Amino acid sequence: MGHVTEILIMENRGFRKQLNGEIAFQIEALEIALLTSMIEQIVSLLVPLKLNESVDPLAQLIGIDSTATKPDDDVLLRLLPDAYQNDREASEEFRRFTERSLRELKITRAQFVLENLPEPDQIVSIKPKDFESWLTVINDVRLALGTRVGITDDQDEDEITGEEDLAHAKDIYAWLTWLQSNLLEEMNS
Amino acid sequence: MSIAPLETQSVSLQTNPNTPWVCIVWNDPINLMHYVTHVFMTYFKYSKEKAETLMLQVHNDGKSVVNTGSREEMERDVNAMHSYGLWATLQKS
Repeated sequence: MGHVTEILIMENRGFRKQLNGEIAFQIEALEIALLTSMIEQIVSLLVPLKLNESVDPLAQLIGIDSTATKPDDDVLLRLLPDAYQNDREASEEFRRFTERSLRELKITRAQFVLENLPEPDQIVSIKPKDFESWLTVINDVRLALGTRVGITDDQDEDEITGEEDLAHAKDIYAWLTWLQSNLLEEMNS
Repeated sequence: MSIAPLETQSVSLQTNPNTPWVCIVWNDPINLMHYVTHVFMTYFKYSKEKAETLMLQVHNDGKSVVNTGSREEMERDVNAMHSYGLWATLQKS
């Protein structure tokens, strides 16, 4: 599993649970822009299942998608994994019955977080009923970025070096890890 | 067998309790250990102790059976694990 690395010593951003149960923390303008961009990318990955011209409206209503197949894209496959390890047919059938609603759930959560990101240099404040949405969206972003930059085993997080953009991606990944860890800690405090 | 009520027999035929299914969570390099524990506590309502034991099995052994039941129940669990971003599959036990 993933590790929280040295980034944990990052300065305290005032992560704290308020008396009303909300979790508040500071987020910088650049970080808001970064989160926005990454969450939007995930939404655009999840959407293309063109909420679809040719899909039977009744099937769509109950979440069935006869066109759902195993994604070619690594990130998409990580967000929407096979449900059966060695049974392609069962996995495909599972997708037809569940994938559309899973995509919609992930998109709904992502859009919720996008809409609730604060203006630059304001405090983020998350209500208890929204903890899980934030947590899972940040996790989806970590899954997407971690898969894209090829984190493949437990120690790899420290080994993404070389090209500049990969080093940059590593910093962002570490920041997301730090963000998620702090959220979890406050949620359980 | 012969003394089982009819109702039970018909249910048995449908769910085939002799071959239960399992939901397996697999280790991956991205999900954090305390996130996985949190998911097990939140979704399965497991105690912190049980959730941590299962999480450590995933971490150390590469996988763990996190629940057992009918195929339909395990499909529901796998779908939920995927919604949290955990890598889960189901199979006959």
